[in-house]
Amino acid sequence: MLTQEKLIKQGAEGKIYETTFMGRPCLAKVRFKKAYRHPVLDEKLTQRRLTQECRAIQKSRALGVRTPTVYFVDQITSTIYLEHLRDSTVLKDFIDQQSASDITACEAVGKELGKLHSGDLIHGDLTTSNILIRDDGTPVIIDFGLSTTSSLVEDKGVDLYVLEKAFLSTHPKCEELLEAIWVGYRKSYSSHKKIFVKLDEIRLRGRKRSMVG
Amino acid sequence: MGRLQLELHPAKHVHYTVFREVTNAPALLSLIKSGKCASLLLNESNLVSPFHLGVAINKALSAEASGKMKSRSVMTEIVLCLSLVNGISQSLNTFGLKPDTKGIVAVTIGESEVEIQGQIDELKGQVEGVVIAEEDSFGYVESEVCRVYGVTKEEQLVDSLEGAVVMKIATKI
Repeated sequence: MLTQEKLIKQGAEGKIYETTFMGRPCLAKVRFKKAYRHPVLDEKLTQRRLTQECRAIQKSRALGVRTPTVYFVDQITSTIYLEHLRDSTVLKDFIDQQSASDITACEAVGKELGKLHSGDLIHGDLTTSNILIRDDGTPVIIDFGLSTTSSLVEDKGVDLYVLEKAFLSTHPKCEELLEAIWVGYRKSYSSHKKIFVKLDEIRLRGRKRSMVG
Repeated sequence: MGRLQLELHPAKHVHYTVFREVTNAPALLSLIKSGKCASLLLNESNLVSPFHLGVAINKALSAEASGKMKSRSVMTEIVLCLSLVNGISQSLNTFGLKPDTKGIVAVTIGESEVEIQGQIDELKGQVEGVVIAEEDSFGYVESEVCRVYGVTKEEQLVDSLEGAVVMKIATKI
């Protein structure tokens, strides 16, 4: 087990510890065991999620999108040891700091998302907490725990819708930044048109919205 | 030569020694076959850096600790962990020594510094070559590494060669 670790975050899925791996800054993501599930089922599901996450991170890189480097996957303890990118800020905080490069950063983020979707990789949990901006301005996408592969316009549309809702609820009155993300997305995904048409349709769904068309 | 600090295996002492201009690779191959070499001898051309090597060693030691090794010994397990294929013969072919090998990275694992030093001294007597002082990277051949690990141009734009290779080793399940 790790000898030096510091718990820095606890989510619904597990805990994140700050540690080192061969001296390099590292984050250890430990997944909880879910006692309410049948143990055999829990084991199988956790392993599958682990494999899916790793596959998604690898695929993301193959599509030219920067992610933290995976150092080690411990299937016994359901832990992923990842590169800890110290020279970066979470997009959420980056926007809150309100710098002149917000528009450029958001456009760069959009470009990365376009690359993912053009490769049929659905992130599954796009929020401003799952996108990092490095000091040199390059975006890094993190947390592929809910990722899937899909060529469906619906799935890509929903992926963007999740981001839109998360973005506007944490950063109200920042519509121009969200628009910058879409501008970047269009630049790297040639089939963006049908995705935005679907996004319009998805916006009309949901609570207290009329589906009369 | 250098020491690898593996936080997940604090009781293990792991060292690597780099030899260049090696002239007795065939003799070393016989030594390995007869089981007289305590260290693991690897071909330098497909190893990017000590970190790359360390990631594979960590994976092998974890497999040993949990009783889930796919091969018979930790040393062969390290070779399997370096490789993207599951066959030991093919992996040894890629990472092991050949009769014309000139650059060698030797891995020595022990429970104490004394044990390690003894093994390294023995190694220096066995390998006819020049010992290289601590280095951040090994004498790899980039095109070979990219071929062995299937590293694409997109992946190289995103991160260093070391990062790309480590990713592939770590996510191979």
